[in-house]
Amino acid sequence: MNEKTQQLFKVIIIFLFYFIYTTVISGVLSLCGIKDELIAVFIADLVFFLGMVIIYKDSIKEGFLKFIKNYSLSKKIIFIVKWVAILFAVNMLGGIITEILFPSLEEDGNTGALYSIASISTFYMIFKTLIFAPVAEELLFKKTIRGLISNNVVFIIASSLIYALINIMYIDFNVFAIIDVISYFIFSVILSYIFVKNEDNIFMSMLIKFFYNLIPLTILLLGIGG
Amino acid sequence: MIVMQLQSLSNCFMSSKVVVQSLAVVQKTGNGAKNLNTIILIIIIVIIILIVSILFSNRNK
Repeated sequence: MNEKTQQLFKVIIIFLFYFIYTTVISGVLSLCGIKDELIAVFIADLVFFLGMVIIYKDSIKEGFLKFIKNYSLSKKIIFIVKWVAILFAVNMLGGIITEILFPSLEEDGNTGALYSIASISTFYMIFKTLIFAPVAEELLFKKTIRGLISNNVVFIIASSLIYALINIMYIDFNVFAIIDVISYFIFSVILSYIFVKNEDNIFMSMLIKFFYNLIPLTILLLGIGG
Repeated sequence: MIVMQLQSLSNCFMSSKVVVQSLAVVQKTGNGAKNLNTIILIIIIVIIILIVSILFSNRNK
């Protein structure tokens, strides 16, 4: 078995684990008497998060050190502000166009789930959007896939397509799902481009996703509190 | 004053559902996917995308 085939099996196993970990860990916790769904989902996410960090700890450390060393403070701020603004503008534009074209369309499953979780547990919402998504999801959709695909363009398209597909996996298929695929795809293309452009520095895309998510999360939490 | 302005901005955004939708995170709803067939289909599509990408990537080296 050559190296690429081994890598492919590794990626498939990580993805399969990603698909089933919530159900499996929730089931195990349920057997142990932990019936609270939110706690079970949180523990499951935490296990997956820690697993990904342990697998890729060297890449995260290396990326962090490169970022600290190669960028001055002003460059760091400009880099973050520039890419967060681009991502936010693109996503907002997509959302507003959807609203104009399909004003009567109800929110999709992913959005509905996020909104209800935000109203149940602020802590979990913060963990999920500011820690889990930037770290575990970026490692899964960028670092894991990059190990398989060396060509930059093919990598950007493949990782973004997979990210977009998985984002709509848990929702009902309707017009919103198709629009969501496009919107998630463009979002991921930008993040993958940042990753590739910075010599496969995963810390860069993590940082941008963290600051990007911080804006809608703040608005969301203010909206719920207000 | 700033908090009021932020809350007014937040209400404006929330009414259009744009903000929550723009959060970049995969949220697995409750007990997982409603439709097991969809999950299996997407898993197969993901594996196909990976294999095709490896082949393309090797060809364009």
